[in-house]
Amino acid sequence: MGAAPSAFARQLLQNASVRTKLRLLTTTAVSAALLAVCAAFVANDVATTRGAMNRQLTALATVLGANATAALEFDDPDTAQELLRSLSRQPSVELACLFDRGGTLFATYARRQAAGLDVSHISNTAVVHIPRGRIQVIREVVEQGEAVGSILLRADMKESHDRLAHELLIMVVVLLLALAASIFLADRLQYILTARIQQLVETMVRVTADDDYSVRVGDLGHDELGALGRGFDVMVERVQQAMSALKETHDQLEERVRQRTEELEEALRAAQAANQTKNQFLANMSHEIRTPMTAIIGYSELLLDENITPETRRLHVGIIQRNGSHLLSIINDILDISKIEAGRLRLDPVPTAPDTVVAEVVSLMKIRAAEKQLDLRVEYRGLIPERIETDPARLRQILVNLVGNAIKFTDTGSVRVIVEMCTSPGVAPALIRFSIADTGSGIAPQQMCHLFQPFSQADDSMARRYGGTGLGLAISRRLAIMLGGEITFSSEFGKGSRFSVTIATGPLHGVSMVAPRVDQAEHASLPETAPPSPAKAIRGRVLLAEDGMDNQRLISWVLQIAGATVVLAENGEQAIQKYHESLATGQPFHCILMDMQMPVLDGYEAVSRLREANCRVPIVALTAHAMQGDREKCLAAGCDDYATKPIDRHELARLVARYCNTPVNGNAGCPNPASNATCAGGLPPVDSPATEAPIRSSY
Amino acid sequence: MAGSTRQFDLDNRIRHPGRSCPRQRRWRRSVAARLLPAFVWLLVTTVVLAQDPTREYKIKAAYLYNFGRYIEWPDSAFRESASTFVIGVMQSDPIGADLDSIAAAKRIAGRNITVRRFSTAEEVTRCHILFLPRTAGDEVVKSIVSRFAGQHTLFVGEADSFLENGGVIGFVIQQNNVRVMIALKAAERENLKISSKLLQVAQVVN
Repeated sequence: MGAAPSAFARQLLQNASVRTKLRLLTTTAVSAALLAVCAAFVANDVATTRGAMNRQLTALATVLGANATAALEFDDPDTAQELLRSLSRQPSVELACLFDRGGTLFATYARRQAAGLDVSHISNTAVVHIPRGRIQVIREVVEQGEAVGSILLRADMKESHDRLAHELLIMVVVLLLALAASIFLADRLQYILTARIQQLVETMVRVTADDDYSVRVGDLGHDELGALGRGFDVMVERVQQAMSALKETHDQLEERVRQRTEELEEALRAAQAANQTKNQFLANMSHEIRTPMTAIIGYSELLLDENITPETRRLHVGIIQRNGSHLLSIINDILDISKIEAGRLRLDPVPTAPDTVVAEVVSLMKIRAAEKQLDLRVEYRGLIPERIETDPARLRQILVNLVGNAIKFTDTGSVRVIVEMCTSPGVAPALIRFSIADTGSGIAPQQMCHLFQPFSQADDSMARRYGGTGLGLAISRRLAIMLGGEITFSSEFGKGSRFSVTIATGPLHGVSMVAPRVDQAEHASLPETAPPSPAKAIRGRVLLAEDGMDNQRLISWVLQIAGATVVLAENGEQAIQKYHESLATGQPFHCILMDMQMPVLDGYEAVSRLREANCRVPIVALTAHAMQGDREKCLAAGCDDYATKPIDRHELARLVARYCNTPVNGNAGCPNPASNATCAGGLPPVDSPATEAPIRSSY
Repeated sequence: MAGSTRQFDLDNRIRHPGRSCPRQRRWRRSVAARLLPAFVWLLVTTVVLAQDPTREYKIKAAYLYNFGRYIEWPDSAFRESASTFVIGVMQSDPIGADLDSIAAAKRIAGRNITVRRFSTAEEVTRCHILFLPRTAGDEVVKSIVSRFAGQHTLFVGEADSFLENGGVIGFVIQQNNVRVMIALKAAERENLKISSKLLQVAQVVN
């Protein structure tokens, strides 16, 4: 057998099932044992038989020889022959030869003469060769110690061989029976083994094929297979636990991914919406700014025409002025809302008398109400705090906006401002509510949701009809929220609207509750018949430090109309120089207007140096930076007041007049009523400082 | 075929004495060299018997010796334990020197053999075996038998009437062979015990 077939056999054996292997093992072992036993038995039997045969033959030869001595010695072959013939009773003996003393054949006997046995060649020296399957004995024939010849006996082993074959046959049958029995028993026994192995394999297949980790092998007993089964169960148990933990984690992860995705999508939507809103806002802003700008530029070109009548010129200038104001309000609103959106709007809460703020607003708005023949009234319901902690400027801004809107959208009827506490005192946070109710057009339901969004008016046509930036409500609402309250509204389309703004009052301990008189408000609603003119109001020298040529000319013109003597400086250095010159010439300035952004030496530095030089002349800062921090910055540099560009000529004149006419300078302010005539028509009148100054100064 | 007749076998043997398979030749030669005297003796005793009276008496000499071994004498037949076994030969002594050589070489029942020769009846003394040849005559036989009867003497003769004359064993020639006849009554008379094996090969008469 070569290497390849043996390897093949080994492979075959390796791939055979355990059942087959066990069967093979049992069969081989039993066969080997039985064969060994049989072989030993047969070998022993052969040897024993041969030995017995030999002994028997030897005895026979001895007896025959002893009987044949006389026949030999007295040369009687017949008798010897007769003697040998007695062997016919021994069927196994096939040949007997008697030799005389000289070794010559004396008598012979052959059982099967037809078997071709050539006795003629046999002598006592020629019998060494023994044919197969025969046993042969040669004995000396001795008479009284003297050898008288020899005898040869040859026996056929056939009988014993036959017996042996018979025995072998029986053995083979027994062997086969034993083998069959052993296989049967081994099968029964190995079932105990393989059945459990099969159980294990089936369980394993279920686990691996169906991914079913809930199956268990169960108790297989206490032997090695049992241990295997238990080990397998433990392993599957652990895998199951690990799988469920994994699944749980996986589910959690999926849920989290889903949540995150939703959040991201939401954020993306919000960002897109915000972007769209911003784009929309920018587009609107651009539009809103360009519209008045177009009117201003267009009518300015018309004014350059020499051949227009003074009446037309007046008309054009009015349009330019109106559009300029509108542009300014738009820019202010935009700045406000962008500050709010950027979170840069800072509140300045101070103790404030709510009724005073309301009175200021009403006095501001009463002219416009009067123009439209509207009744503007204030109602106080119940007691209100004498003072609240809030930012009065912002509160005023909200109220001005809301009242302005109410007047704007109301054609006939009234606008009422109702002030009341919306929570009982002592319950924090206490809120005060200002409600503005009108009898105007009201708001259509489909427009309500857009009401507080920037650049949204009830519709586009309204903008043309009523004007306005569309930012007012958006700003007001944000301000109200910043002040700790909110703005709500209710409206019936065509019958009027009611906007309610609530703001936090701040702590009310020790604050007395009052019921303000409405006379003040009613009084304020009375239209002014003849507003005083600011012309020739300023008496004194004013130093104007301003680098822009147009602004230089405009401001100096405004101040000169108001009566001031104006000295110009182009930058901070010149301003300081002029100041020193004024001291030297003995004509001191009563007020200095200082632009903060200038070449060579800017306003901040110039003011600092002037103050260092012990200059005590009031200084008013001029800046285009309408941001919250600018004012503080200017005051910190040493300025006494602050005015933003673009300038309001009347406000500026009033402001400068206030400083020029202070007793410090020895020039007491005395408004001249006669100057009213020179005042341009349509310009807001200058109120008494008691009502007007705080508005700007706190702005 | 093999056991048909002894005659055939013998002839065959004589004609092809050295025939055997070559494998055994060397061994056979050495054995044959040792057995040569025996062959010669066999040749003499069997084949040349009829033509050669010497051979006949050689056989008879050997038989006389053989008788001593197959027949038992009572102790009283010997004077003492060391006494020799005496074989006596009467008259012309045809047996000759063969018997002497046998007697010199062998012993019977542990005793040395002594051969005595008697020319006349008167000379005859007591023997254990006494051979009386044909030439002795009936009268001589009768006288000697009568003289030594009952004295444990085996009378061996070769005359036809020997047994009738009181002899115990007589030689006869049958089919070119020397055969033995035994008279049981005479043996009993001499108080000799004859081995059954001898009786088997002999012809027994009463």
